[in-house]
Amino acid sequence: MSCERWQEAILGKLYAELEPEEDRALTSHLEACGACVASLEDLRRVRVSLRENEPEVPRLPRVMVLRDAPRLRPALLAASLATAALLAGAGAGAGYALGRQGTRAEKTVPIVGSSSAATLDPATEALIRQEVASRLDALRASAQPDAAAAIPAGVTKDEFQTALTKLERRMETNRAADFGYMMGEIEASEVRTGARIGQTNQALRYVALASNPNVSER
Amino acid sequence: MTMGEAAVSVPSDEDLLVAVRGGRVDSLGILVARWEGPLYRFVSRLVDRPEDARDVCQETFLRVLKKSDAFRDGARFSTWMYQIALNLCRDRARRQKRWGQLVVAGHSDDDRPREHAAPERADTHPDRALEREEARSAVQAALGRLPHDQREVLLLKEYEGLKFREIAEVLGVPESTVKSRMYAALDAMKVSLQAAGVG
Repeated sequence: MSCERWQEAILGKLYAELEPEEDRALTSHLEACGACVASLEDLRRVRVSLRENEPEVPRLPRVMVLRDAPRLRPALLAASLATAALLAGAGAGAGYALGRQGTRAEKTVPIVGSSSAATLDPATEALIRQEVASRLDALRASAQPDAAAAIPAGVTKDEFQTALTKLERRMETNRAADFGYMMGEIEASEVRTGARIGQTNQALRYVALASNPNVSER
Repeated sequence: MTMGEAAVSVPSDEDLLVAVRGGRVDSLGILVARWEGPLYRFVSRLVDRPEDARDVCQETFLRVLKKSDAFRDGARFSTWMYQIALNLCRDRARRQKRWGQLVVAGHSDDDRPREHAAPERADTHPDRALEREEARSAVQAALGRLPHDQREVLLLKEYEGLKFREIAEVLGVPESTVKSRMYAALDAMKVSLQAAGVG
């Protein structure tokens, strides 16, 4: 084991990246330190092995096509988030509002599972309207990204909005990358399966030909 | 500049990137031709499968095109390119960890190397050829066992020929960290190769 403080210099010597002054200092140290000399020699041998037995590299694809991965646009994401928030708000009131026919001024509310319409007295309807409106407001407020309550103390609204936009972009990028990764996996699977089928077919052809007495090796 | 000078001047990588930034997309073709071999060699030793290496290389050049504005003046193109590729490899490794692999790496005859591989020697004798094949496999296996951070450094240094300072730039770590990883990597390789009877 070499002296720890000389390890960097030994590497520098090994790859010829030593300044003349450092080189002189190391040479002087090596004259007195057998462990460092042995270490330098060991590492030289490792380098030789690495160079002589460099691992093979798969064949480079002959044509490297530049293709763009499918990506979702931020505007599209923002639109989908807005729609989701709206739908969430709408969904909360669905129990009351769905199936409601005509304008809000109408006084009839269809009852689920019944073909006939029931009539409510004005006081009850006013109560229901109030309940729906308050729940919708609460949902909208919670769905608002810039709701004052969601902004942590010490952060301005603009900073919060910027951070939120960044987060959305990151989520979108990650989603696109995950999608790309999975598509790549599927593509790789198809390519390998196709190659294996081709090899199997070829092998079967050889077997068929080999068992045919009328076919020579040529 | 005379015609003669123009005829012999070879644009540097950085000149080509400036041209790409100015809208000369054809300059990217020259960069790809110059660097696809080394980049593919480097990436294919970091990822498990040739398909992944191909994808990472494509994405690297695509990012070079898209983010050419982000290239710092005075920086080296190759350092920047390796940095992009390395980040893509790490992203891919993270995704693999999260999603798993649908296809397991395996070598068919089609995957055998023909280009950009280590130079073939005239090992016509079957015994010597077998020995060499075993030694290569041992080196490959030993590389695969190295921790990722050590493997990155060793590949960039030993096979891509970057200087320690450049590797530090690619990895965004101090040069001393690069050297300590390199020393540890060579030390681990020594042990693995001795155990495999190589060297």
